Amino acid sequence: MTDLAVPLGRGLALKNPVMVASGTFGYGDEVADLLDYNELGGLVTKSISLEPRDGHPPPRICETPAGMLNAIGWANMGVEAFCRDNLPFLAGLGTAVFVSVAGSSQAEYAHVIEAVERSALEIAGYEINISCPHVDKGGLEFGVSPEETEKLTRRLRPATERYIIVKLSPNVTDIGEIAQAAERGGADAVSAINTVIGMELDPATGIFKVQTGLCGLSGPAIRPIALANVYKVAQAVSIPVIGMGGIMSVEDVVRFIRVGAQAVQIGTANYRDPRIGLRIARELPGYLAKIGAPGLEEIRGSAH
Amino acid sequence: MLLEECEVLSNKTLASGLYEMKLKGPGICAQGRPGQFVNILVNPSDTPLLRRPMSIAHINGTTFGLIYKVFGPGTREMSSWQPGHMADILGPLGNGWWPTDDRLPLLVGGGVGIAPIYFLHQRLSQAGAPHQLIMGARSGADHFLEHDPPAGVTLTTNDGSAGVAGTVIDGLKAAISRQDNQAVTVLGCGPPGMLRALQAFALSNELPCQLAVEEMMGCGVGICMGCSVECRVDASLAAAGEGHRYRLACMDGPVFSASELVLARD
Repeated sequence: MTDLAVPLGRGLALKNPVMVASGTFGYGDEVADLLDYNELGGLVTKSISLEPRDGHPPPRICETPAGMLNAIGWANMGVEAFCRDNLPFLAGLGTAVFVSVAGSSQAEYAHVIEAVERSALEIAGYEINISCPHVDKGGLEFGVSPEETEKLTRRLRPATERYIIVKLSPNVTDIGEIAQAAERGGADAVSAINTVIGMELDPATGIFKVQTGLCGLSGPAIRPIALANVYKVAQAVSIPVIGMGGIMSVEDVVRFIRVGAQAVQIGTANYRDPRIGLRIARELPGYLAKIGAPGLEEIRGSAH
Repeated sequence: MLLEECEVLSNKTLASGLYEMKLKGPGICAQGRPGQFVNILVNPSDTPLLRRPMSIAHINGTTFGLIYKVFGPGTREMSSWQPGHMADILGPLGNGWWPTDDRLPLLVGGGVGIAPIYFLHQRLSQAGAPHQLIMGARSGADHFLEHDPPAGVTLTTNDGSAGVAGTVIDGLKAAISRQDNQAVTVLGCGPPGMLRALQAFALSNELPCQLAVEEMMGCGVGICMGCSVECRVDASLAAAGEGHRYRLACMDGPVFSASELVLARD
């Protein structure tokens, strides 16, 4: 059996490269009836802010050709309730759990991490969401600027000994430059991509399909965009890159590995089938054998 | 909640523009309660990408039924399924109707909102529990039941071609007038305009009322948070930073108390 373990540095290794992406797997045990989370390579939670957030008014989502638009607006219960109600379950899992951190200011991001650290519950680390395209303040405000990205990462680095992933947006001129800024700031890894800014409307009435108008596109429709961005990021940094964007199959996972990803995250596909990450992880050794690859390391970055 | 491969047993027109599909699903049938829904994978390819949520319309043994209208590519695909087709279905999901204490349940359904109402009617009938059923449609051809007020079934039609002429509110008033001052509860599901009318009627008459909402859903299981429903926040809870302005149709509903729902215009 092929060893699928993925070393990420800072003493952390995933049992396989297939994680589930933030915002696509809830807070915790929502779909625990359907699959054993322990078979996943890792799990990133819904983004958590310091205070509870209502999120955006409906409609928040809309289906599009081979994809969907969303503007959830960081709706979440706040870090205090999260640590009390959900983190104990997550910390008890035998998979790498990352808390996705949201904030409107450097201080808010830091306070969320500090609150989780105070809970003294064991998790693998954090994914810093600086790439949400549909919140009024915070998120992409940091993620479009190399300076802000570096400053924020540098500010958060001393807050924890645990693993820090910085999640990048494709809605920038040069994603490689932002990735390098996160690396300079002390990030252990970067993940890419968050959703692509999109929009849909009713031609007869002009009414936006998603209430905010501008929102985020995900699903297989963005996979080629994601591959190009992950390829650019992997060329730009020496820290691990976690690739995502429209992954629906084991073949898609291997595409991301070949453009340089160390691991991947499954997002929108979880809505079709919450077990898809687990299924892909199980299919991966067979697929590698079929294409004659001894392991992931041998094919990583081999796109040409 | 489970993912079940369900065999299509039949799939045919029930009334004008309305389809009924029967599927074999022992697991879903063992757990399903009126007001709950299932989420159906309509296509193994990427489009349509998302599952289609549909209320359970009835359960008999290990067979459950769906009542649906063809609205878009997903339901069009479903309408083509032949007996023997295997469908990947997630369910049962959401919360059902809750008990109405000693009050007489008045069940009100319109459009595809008749599905969860019909299931509740079926369960109450099987239990011998007294209730009234009011079903609304544009015309008689849209109905699949017989207007039979003595048996507790009131049909309404906008064009007056069957049952009571008017809307479900007219049918509801007629059903209430037949009761001897018995306390009632309204349980409703239907298009947005009907839900708003039911909510206004229930609130102005101080009747307890449970309404099942239909929302666009991404996942049906609370992991995407896409199906937000605006709800009134209790003032004391809001002051304490508790109580959410938006709740999720899939996890917190789809049945909500009419007194908490803020129903948007169409």
